[in-house]
Amino acid sequence: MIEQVNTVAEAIQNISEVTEVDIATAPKEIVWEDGKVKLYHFKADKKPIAKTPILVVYALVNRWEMMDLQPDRSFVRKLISEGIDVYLIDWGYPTRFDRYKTMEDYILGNLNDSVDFIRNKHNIPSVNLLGVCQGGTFSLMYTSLFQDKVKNLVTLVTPVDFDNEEGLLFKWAKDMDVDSIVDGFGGLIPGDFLNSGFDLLKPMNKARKYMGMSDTFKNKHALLNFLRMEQWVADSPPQAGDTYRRFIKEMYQQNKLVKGTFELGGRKVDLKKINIPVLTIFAKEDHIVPPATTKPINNLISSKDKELLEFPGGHIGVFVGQRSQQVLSPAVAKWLIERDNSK
Amino acid sequence: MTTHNNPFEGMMDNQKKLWENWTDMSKKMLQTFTGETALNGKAQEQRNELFDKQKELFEEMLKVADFKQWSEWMEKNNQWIKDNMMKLLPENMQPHYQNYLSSYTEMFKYWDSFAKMIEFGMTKPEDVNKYFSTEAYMDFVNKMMGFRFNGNSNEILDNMNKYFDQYIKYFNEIGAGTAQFNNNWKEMLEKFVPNDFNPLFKALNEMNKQVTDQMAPFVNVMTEGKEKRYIKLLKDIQFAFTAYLLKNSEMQTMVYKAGQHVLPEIFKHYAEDFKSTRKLPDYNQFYKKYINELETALMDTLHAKEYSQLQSDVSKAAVTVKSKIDEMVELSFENLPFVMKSQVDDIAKENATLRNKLRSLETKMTDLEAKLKTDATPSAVKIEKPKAVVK
Repeated sequence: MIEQVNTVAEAIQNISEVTEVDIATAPKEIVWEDGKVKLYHFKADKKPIAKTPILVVYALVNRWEMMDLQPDRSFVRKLISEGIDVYLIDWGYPTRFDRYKTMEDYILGNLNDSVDFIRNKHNIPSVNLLGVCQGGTFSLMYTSLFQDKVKNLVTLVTPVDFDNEEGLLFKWAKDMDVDSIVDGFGGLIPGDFLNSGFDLLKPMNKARKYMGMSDTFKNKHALLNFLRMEQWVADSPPQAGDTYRRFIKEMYQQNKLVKGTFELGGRKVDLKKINIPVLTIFAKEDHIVPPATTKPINNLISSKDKELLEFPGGHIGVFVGQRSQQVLSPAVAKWLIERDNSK
Repeated sequence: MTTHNNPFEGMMDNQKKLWENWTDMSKKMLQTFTGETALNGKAQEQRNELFDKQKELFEEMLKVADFKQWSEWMEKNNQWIKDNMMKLLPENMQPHYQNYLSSYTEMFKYWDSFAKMIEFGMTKPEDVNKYFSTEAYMDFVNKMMGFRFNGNSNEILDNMNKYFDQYIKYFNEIGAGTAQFNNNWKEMLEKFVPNDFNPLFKALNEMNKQVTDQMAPFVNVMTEGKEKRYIKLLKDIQFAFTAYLLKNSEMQTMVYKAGQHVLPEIFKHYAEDFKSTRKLPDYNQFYKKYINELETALMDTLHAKEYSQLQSDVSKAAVTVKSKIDEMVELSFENLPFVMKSQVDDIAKENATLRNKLRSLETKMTDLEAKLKTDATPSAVKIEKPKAVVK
């Protein structure tokens, strides 16, 4: 009884003290922008060890802030502390005005422009790329077309082989009438529509999460962590209809990248052309991007210096778990630094 | 016994006494077993003494600590926690939290009965259904899956066909004059609304009423000649919404069927466990096991091709309804000075075309710059001397 009273009292105190839920607090500045798209450069306290900066390319789905959720669980902060100079593309929040924005606009436009900005600013011929999830798919496409501008490539929980029976999302996408969905939504796919789909992959996850809240309340730090995650999940940007349509059709339904028939801006995207160092990281228990959809990257590229790295946990845990801080970010930084002086 | 104004001080005091009793008794029992005193063979007597003291103490506690007051305090503050957590959550996460709270609380109402059933081995599906009915189960699944409607699709289909046949007949009879439009619509609905024989059918008609009530202001601002287009759109919406309800119902029924066996199996599991351990789970353990097992049971269905196709059909039907409603709103405001979504689409298309042209030009310029850089010196130009002029 006394214990219950104490628990309730602690919960009330901790909840009362929450005034703001802040995420993505690593210091940064906007160094370039194009419409809604921004390029951030993160500030560091010390000079980076690696001369070549890295450009983080997050997916269009959900927001990049997962990589800097809170100071002690920040993939970005950890990379910086390990000596890497970090840039990041923020794709912004598309509106109906962006309904016709294409994959060419994103990859050949925004991504290429960001790479060129960094190259010019640092007076370097090439940058490092770190693509996350769909951002990794974009990064692979970009590298195959502009390899001279990419020094090293890291892909993180990146799908490349979409002809897969393991992932529920992959199965459902194959039956999706994407033209009706895009046209029915007026060319702008709401973030909540995507979130509903993700929720259905493990329908009881939310109930399990909320069941654990009685422990969460006891600790203010845990409560804030929980609220930050909720805020990130809720903040799902809409998707530009044309890009969404094409990604579903040509990746999920036709698997064009693996088949070698995918084109961007009239140019064929051939992953075999990639021969720079590539590090591919996948999460062992990833139910959103199962390992079987990521591992084929190693067989599709021609790089001699290529590595597959399995990481325990799920799709999100790979960024925010304790092991991410202690193991993954340092591993990525080390890999990049080792290759910093190579041609 | 010391009296306390504050029930918690009383509780703390009693807790302290309980602890003192235990430590005192433990020492005595230890001495008994180690033979240090003349208490050999009196262990049972000591235990009895302890239990009697405990009983006396609890009786005093009941007098001193007002448990009703404590319960009320706990309930009030737990509600405060839930309300304030809700406020801290982002708006689009609040329904999920509400669904969880609702499902947890609803099932808890059955917990005493469930515990008894487990204890007495009443685990057959028909026994479980007496307490946790099919409707309660479907409501639980709806909250977990984010479903809204439920119903028997065959029955709905039959009703819909009857409804549409009569609808078309009635509409031909009465015509569609603007002045009489609203009254005719309402009259028609009253004529055709069934007597609640199917909740889904009722929902469809409810939707009709809402749509027509909300569209009434738009009907009034429309100019003559749009009525037929408007009515056609309404019919299209009705048809699309019916298709959505039917497909949705079919999809949800598939999910309900997949998980129905889980609760009786959970009962069976705990009943067998109780036989050997004589221990019942607490509600949290039970609820957690149920949601985990239910999810596992649903997975096969969610992975099935049939479900995937149905889900696609449901999504398609839902966005069709949405786009038809958008179209109707645009039709109503057609001649008024508002920029409509379709007009923004035209601008967006122009913007995209211009962007493509600009990128094409940028690429050509980049290629040209690269070409100019590689041509280090201009090639020699042959100069032709003018022919000599002979004077």
